[in-house]
Amino acid sequence: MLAYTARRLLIVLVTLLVASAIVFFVLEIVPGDPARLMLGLNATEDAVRALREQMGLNEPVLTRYLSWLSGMARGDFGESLTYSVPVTELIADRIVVSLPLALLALGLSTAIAIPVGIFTAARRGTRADTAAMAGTQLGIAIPNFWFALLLVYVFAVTLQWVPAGGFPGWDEGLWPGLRALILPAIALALPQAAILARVARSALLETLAEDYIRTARAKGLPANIVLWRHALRNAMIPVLTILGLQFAFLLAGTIIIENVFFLPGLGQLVFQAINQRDLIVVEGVVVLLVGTVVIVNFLVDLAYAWADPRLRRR
Amino acid sequence: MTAPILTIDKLDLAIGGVPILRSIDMVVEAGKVHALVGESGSGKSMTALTAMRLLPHGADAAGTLRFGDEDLLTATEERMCALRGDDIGMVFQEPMTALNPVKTIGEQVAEGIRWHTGANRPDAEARAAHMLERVGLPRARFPLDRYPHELSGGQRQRVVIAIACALRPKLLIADEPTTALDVVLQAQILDLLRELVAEDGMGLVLISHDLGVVAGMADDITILRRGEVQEAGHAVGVLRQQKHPYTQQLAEASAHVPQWAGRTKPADHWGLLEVQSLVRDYPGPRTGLFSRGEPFRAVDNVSFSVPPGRSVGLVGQSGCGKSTLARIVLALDKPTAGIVSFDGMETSRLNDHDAQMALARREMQVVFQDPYGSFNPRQTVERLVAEPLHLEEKPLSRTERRERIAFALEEVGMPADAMRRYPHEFSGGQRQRLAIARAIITRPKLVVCDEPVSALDVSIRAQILDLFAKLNDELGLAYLFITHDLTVARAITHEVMVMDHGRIVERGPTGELLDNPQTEAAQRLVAAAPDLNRAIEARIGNTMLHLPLEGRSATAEPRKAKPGAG
Repeated sequence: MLAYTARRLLIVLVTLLVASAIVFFVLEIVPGDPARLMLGLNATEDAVRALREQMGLNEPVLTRYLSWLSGMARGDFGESLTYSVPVTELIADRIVVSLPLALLALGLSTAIAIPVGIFTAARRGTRADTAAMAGTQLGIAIPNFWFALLLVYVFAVTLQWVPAGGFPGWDEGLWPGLRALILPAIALALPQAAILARVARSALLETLAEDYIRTARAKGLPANIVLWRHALRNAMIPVLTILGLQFAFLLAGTIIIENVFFLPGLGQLVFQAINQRDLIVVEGVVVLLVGTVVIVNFLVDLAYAWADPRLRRR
Repeated sequence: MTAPILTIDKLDLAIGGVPILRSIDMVVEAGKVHALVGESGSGKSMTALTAMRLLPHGADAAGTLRFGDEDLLTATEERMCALRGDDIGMVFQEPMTALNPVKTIGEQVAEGIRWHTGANRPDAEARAAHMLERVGLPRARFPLDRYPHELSGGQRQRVVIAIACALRPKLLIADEPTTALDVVLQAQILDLLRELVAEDGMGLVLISHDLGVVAGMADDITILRRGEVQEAGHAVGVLRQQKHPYTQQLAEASAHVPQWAGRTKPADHWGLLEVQSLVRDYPGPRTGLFSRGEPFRAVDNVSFSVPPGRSVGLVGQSGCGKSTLARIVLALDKPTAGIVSFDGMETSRLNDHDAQMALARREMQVVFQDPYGSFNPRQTVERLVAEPLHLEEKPLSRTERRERIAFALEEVGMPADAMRRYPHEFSGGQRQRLAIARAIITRPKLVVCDEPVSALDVSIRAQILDLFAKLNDELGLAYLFITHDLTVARAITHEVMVMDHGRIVERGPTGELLDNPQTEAAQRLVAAAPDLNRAIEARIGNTMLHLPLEGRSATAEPRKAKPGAG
């Protein structure tokens, strides 16, 4: 198990290194001189040259990559071209919105999907199963921005339970912050929950047809106990895979949802940064997203090994 | 006469309206082995699952099925849960999949004990350890925290038996418990079951299609066909007298030896297939971040040759390296060292895109064990059978293709209209014929057969063996015939090679070698192989010996066999 974890960690580090290189060099070949962009069209050649010098853009590309990399390792992501503040600061301000939102959505989707998956698998072919599966179809088909608008109309405008948008900041206390995040989280979670529930159901059904389920039944365990004790853990592998992939989608999905709900999150930040060619901010956010996804997948790998002892020796 | 444990009386079963069992009668006594014999689809497993009340949805059973004084058909599900695993245990056919891969063997054996007795974890584990010890898995070598994947098939079947017998059930149902195992493991598992019956006095329902196994094990026998009892009675008597035509048919099929002209033809002196000093190592298990254990030598310095038109058997226990050797011969795997040459081409040095490789592949085809898994279910038989034709140098014209397919189908005894149909429309035996048609369509010189009849019923097996014999006669095919079944080796091979731990330890003409094995490995195989006649002789000998002591005179005389006689 220790060797397995060490090997996975090694893979994480290599992946991060490769990903950072790709991000850096892709943005490097994007046309446009950041110095010229910053100073505007009327800038003199001298000013541009001076700024290039100041920004270190005249150094060889490898030197710049390495200094960027070592900067990031120290938590220094550079300085935003448009806001002239450290990127780290910008990200820190936004991540306190985006990360809780993504985690809340992930928790919600899991909390909905797993029970639905178990319930429908245990009652396969019944009306409840058919109805729940039709519901998941709908959940997958509805675009989440439209569903978000519907939620706003019902719960914010009509019922006025929660605010329609904006974020008060965590300084106001936990509850106001959560209240502001609950609708966006539901909007993000619903399609994910629908997919996850279907995966959980089919994984469970497949597991329930295995020979060892029959062995467990022959021991005298009732069907529902067999489902919990023997089928569930075996059915977790595909569920974990989808969960890991979904986290990446959730982070990307926040871009739309944060705009619908006027949330000052990473999605909004990166959206604006792209519009303003603020490449340093884009680089920083992308590296952060890549890092998160890689780490989440590392955790999924560890969860695999927890779920299936056969993987521990690999 | 002991009291009956299980009494089945006029049991009918239908699943989704389709009748599966018709008026089954059967009585299982304590301390006795009752064999339930029949071919696939005869309803033997369904009879067992009815007794366990673990039938699929839509099943409808009628009649009586008494366990002691209780009618199992009308018992509540709650009551059945109390009986299952406690008073009635069941062992299944496929040990590789019968255990939960994510739970330790200790947990899995202890689970039933805890469930039924309410014992705490340490007590249940102590009992589990004791039971595992009894089935031959001592704690020192097989600690409770082992996972199923760390055990071999035979060891896993012992765990399944430990689960089933942990609470000393009155009735144990074993559904083909040794069919997936090689003969040596089979003999060990059968010995274990025999011991448990003798020591615990439980009744054993042994479901099997193998008359040799049954003859060596059973006290009573019920022979099923298409859901109906054909013959029932005292096992030795029924199998010796073979009064019922179906019993006779089964016995003949299981000892079937094809008559073919090529059988006595002398061998050529050159090797169509030449294997020299072949070695195949597999990397050892990972032991650290970058380190690996000792490599595992699956094939160890193997040399042999197969002359043209000759059928050479390769026998050995599972895990001895037979299949690895076959893969290398077929150029599906590269040897670590050594040479394979086929018809003058050194195939072990060729790459997949070499022109010679296509020629070699064309002249060397393969038939696998599983007639279900080896066909793509979404393709027509025409496409499936014609698959190897892409190996031809020049693409065939449409009519040539059709002719080739029609010829291949005719050779294997399938109608030409099979072309337009899909694999699921055919039975297991027919599919194996189609697999053979696919193998011969390129007019090969050698066909490697990897357990091609192991998954088939005895009567189908006899037909397929006849087909192999006929194709040897008509097309001059040479076979490398891999099997763990010595009866099959005897029926269809000129020579056999015995493989053990990656090495070929003995080779000789089939009859001579099997009658008089020289090496320990060969002797072990021969001794373990079930044989109907030998088993009956041994049983009669035993009965005679015990007769005067027990003073039972009626036992030696087989009970009059009458269908349905309880």
